[in-house]
Amino acid sequence: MSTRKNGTPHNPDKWELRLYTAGQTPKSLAAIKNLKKVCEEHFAGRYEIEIIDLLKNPRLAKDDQIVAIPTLVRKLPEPVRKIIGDLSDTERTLIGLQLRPQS
Amino acid sequence: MNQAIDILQNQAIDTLQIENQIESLRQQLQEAEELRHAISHGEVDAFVVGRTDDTKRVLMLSGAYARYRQLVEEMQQGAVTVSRSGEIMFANQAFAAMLGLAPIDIFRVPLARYLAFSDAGDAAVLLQPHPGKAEVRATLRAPNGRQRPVRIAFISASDEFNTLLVTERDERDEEAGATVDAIRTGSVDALVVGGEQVVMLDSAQRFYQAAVDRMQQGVVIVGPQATVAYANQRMATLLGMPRERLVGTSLLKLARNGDEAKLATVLLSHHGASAQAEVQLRRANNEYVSTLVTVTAIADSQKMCLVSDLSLQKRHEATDERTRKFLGTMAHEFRNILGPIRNAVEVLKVRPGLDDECRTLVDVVERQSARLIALVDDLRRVNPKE
Repeated sequence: MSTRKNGTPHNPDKWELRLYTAGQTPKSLAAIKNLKKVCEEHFAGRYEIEIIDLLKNPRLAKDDQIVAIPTLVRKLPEPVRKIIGDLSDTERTLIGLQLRPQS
Repeated sequence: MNQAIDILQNQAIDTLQIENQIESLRQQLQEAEELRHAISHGEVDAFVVGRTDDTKRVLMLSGAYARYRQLVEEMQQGAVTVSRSGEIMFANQAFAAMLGLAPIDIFRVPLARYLAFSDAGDAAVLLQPHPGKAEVRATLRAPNGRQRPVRIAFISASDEFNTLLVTERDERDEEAGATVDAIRTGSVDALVVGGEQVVMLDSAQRFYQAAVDRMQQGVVIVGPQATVAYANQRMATLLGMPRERLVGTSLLKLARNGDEAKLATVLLSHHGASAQAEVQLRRANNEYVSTLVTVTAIADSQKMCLVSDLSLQKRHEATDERTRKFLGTMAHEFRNILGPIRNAVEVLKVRPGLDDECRTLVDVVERQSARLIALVDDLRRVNPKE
């Protein structure tokens, strides 16, 4: 169990993230940029980002039941969580990743 | 006389009885007030109820709690009371069932043990004496491995314990809500339909359209008969006509007579790769503009044509040519002037009796003229024809 104090961010050893994009759409590009920024700021050196371009492999959408693009899926730490959108709302992204408690 | 005395005596008795009754009522009222005070201050924990000795019984106030407890036990939502350190002090049947356990099994077990790792910290907030937030989303993790998304809400706190309400939540509903929000706020620009087909949303198309509209090349999308379905602003400017007039007309009809077949070959061919043709297109003022048309198939029988203005390119080429000629002429003229200067310096250097100051000045002229010659040579290289 995490030893963090109440409401403070917890930091597992490994973050495994999967970002579903649709080629080079503006929102997909924005999501990649925003995700990398959050990762570097909060768990540099402890994350893996897998970018899945659904324009090239639309069938991969089924794996995580993706409906809207871009969508970020947090595979690790468990439980699996989805954040839909371009991650431009940093506060919402941090809450979605559970780096910040939900208000 | 006797009758009058009787009446007075009776009235005196009535008055005494009334006074006694009033006093009795006053005492009952006082008792009732004391009872109310005792109940409201938690000073009694049982009542004697029933009118007769046979029906009288003691009603424990804990009996009222028992009823609440029964209600909590039977309700469908999970209820759990935890200590400040996070141990489960009470859990109802519904909460225990979410974990696949009996309530007794989880007594004094830390609540965090049944939460997904990353949720434990958020839920810990609910254990504080005055939680700032009323609810957290979490995932319950049963010992058998089953995970269950829940909402945990703070209900009440006592000195040592907090009671929480645990409700199952439907992640699919939540995701659907989040998707609708994301589309509404424009933070997604594509959707997956039918499980494996990606459809761009209008906002994305608008972005591409805006980018294409601002391109310096003409862009035309044509249908099966080379009919224009879309033209960007640059194309409209190139042909000197509004876009509305272009849409619906055949691009072939805009080609100069001799070029029509050439354009048709690249537009109507079924080659996957792109094809190019140099064609002259008729402008609105009936003049012709030389273009290079590059055709690429983009979708079912649709093709995209990139149209470059060759006349502009030719104008640029002509400008470049004039510049090169000017630079060449300049280089030639400079060299003509520099030749005699270099010769004069050579003569001066070998002249006897030159004092040191003059020799220094000659050196300066020689050095600077050498630099000037190097610059002129650079200019000549710009124009190889020179």
